[in-house]
Amino acid sequence: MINILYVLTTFFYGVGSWFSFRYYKTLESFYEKKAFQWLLIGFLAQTITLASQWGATRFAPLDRIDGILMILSFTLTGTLIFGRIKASVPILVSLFLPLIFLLSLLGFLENIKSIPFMDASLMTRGMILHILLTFFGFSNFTVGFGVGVAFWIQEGQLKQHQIKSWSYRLPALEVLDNLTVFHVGFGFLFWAVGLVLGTMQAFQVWNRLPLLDPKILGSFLVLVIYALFFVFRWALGMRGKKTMTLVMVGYFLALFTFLGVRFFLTTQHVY
Amino acid sequence: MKFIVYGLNHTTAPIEVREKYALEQDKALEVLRALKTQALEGVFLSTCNRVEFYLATETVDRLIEETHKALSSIYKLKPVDVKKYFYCYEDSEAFYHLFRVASSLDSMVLGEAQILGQVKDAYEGSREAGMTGVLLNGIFSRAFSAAKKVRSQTEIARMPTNISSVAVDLAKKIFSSLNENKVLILGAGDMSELTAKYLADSGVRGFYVANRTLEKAKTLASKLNGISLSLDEGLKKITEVDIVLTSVGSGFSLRKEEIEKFIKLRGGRSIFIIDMGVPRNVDSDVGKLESVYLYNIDNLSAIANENRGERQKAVEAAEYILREEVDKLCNWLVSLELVPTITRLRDRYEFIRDAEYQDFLDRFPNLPEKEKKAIERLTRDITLKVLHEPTVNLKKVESKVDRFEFARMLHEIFSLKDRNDIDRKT
Repeated sequence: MINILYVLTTFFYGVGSWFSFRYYKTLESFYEKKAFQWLLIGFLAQTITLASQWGATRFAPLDRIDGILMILSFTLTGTLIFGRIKASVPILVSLFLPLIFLLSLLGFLENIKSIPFMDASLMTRGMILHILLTFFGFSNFTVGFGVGVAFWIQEGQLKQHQIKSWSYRLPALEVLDNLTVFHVGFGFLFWAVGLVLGTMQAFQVWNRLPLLDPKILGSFLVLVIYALFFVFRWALGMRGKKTMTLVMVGYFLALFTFLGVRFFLTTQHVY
Repeated sequence: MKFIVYGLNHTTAPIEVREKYALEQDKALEVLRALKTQALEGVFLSTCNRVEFYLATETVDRLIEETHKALSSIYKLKPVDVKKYFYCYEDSEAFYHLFRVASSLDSMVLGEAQILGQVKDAYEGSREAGMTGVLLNGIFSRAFSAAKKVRSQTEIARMPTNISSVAVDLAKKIFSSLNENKVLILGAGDMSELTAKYLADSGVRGFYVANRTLEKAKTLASKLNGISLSLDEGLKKITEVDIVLTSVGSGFSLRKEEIEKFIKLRGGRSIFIIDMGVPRNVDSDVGKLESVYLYNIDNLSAIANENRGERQKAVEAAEYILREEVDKLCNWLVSLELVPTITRLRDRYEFIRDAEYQDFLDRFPNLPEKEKKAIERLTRDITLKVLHEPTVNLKKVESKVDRFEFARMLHEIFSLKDRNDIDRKT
């Protein structure tokens, strides 16, 4: 049953992605509305999937990569729905829905499924909440990063007087700037609370916080970089590419902390 | 019944000829009514670049003669004077021409937005006067959706091609909606005024106009519901406005150092500076400042030229879409012919009969062969008898317009499909 729901969720995101591409090609709002509707349907199906899994096993699917991908696509979808409703920027869904579809699809690959992620015995409620919050933080950073890249491109073209025809699909600089602040702000909040909960978990498990562990150190550095973004922006009145550079750096560090550390460095962190 | 386009446009007739034929809608309807004996349906389109009749007729040559007579009687012109400027397209060529016109591929300024509205108005005028019927309603509704498709799926109308609208478009790329933005105009020249009007049309409500001669500033400010200022007072407003439009005469120049002190007070907010002055009013280094977007007249012209090129590139894609739409329209028209409609009606009944018969056989598999054949013959006879009278009556309909209307109704009522579709289903 859960597998069927998972397939359905991916299918709904796939249909939404098709409408996203159509919207990107034609800019007809009909397609964007359809893409958003399918995103909502997919999100509903995914919520039911996760709830069913929780109901059946009292267990969040965080022990394997496919489950992690599912949670990540879930938090990314939630972030996108929130951003779409709050900021009302139509192109947002079209930019990210294919990524969500891809994340869901990746979960079906057998060699991905076989990668273990976290020991089931460690999965306390506090740990699950810590993971969910950092995932919501990461999802917001992802959207903030994507919007920041769009800002970077749009700004570069405007500065160099080279306006490409496809860039007419992107929202105005002001909109992109506000959207970046919006998502980075929420990402910062989720990430910060997630780290507090993570610290509490660390004290429970290790009786200390190994601050020099690359994963933990990286996570706190991400927080510092995004804090600098807000300081530069609000206290020093800096905008444009300089502050967007911080968004990029922050995101790449978050990405490395999230995935890279596990593969390239050694860490005490369980995932 | 034939569909024709008869008319002249900017490529076939000089303005002296075109302006003679620019008709008001009520006069246009007068001409169409005069043609009623020859034209079963008609739409008349008159713009500054074209005068065209879209007509449904069974007698093309006579209709053209009648059209010239009607036009001559209105304009008191000799028919022979003007015939050389007119063109006539029939059926698929005519559909293609109408679709090109509605999509602004046939316009003087490629991709201009007004033509679709003008075609819609012309059609609505004729429809309200009862001059259109099944054929033109179908053709024009398809022309409008084809034009919409071209506009949304190609770059034909997406990018502006004149300097002032390029400037407005760039402003929208920086600030999105311009309703909340304020504009400072330095120098009340003609170019500034034109661009300011474009900005006002795009929603800008706050204008400051600063000029060396205060009187000129006041005149332009009153037109824009703005505030007039001296040039020095105007410069101080750079701290609070979002767009600066400069077109001050020679001897005026804003250096980077001068502007930088105002920019620093803006808290990082973006500012768009449009330098329309020749010689330039703003030092090009100003464009290097953070959150400052500086465009001079050459930059704007270059974008306008590039956009024209993009529109030209989009023509091929647009024509491809239109050809597809014309094919669909031709198929629709063929499907509305009465004989294929009757054939499809019979196919539909046969499809239902056969499906029911097969269903019956499935339920009674042990039925003897003789009885099976008898039942099949019985169902076939019933179908034929049911269809006999409507078929005969349909063939009796003499007026082509009525036959067309009957065919269309049958298609809608019975959801008639192509024979191939039915075969595929079975």
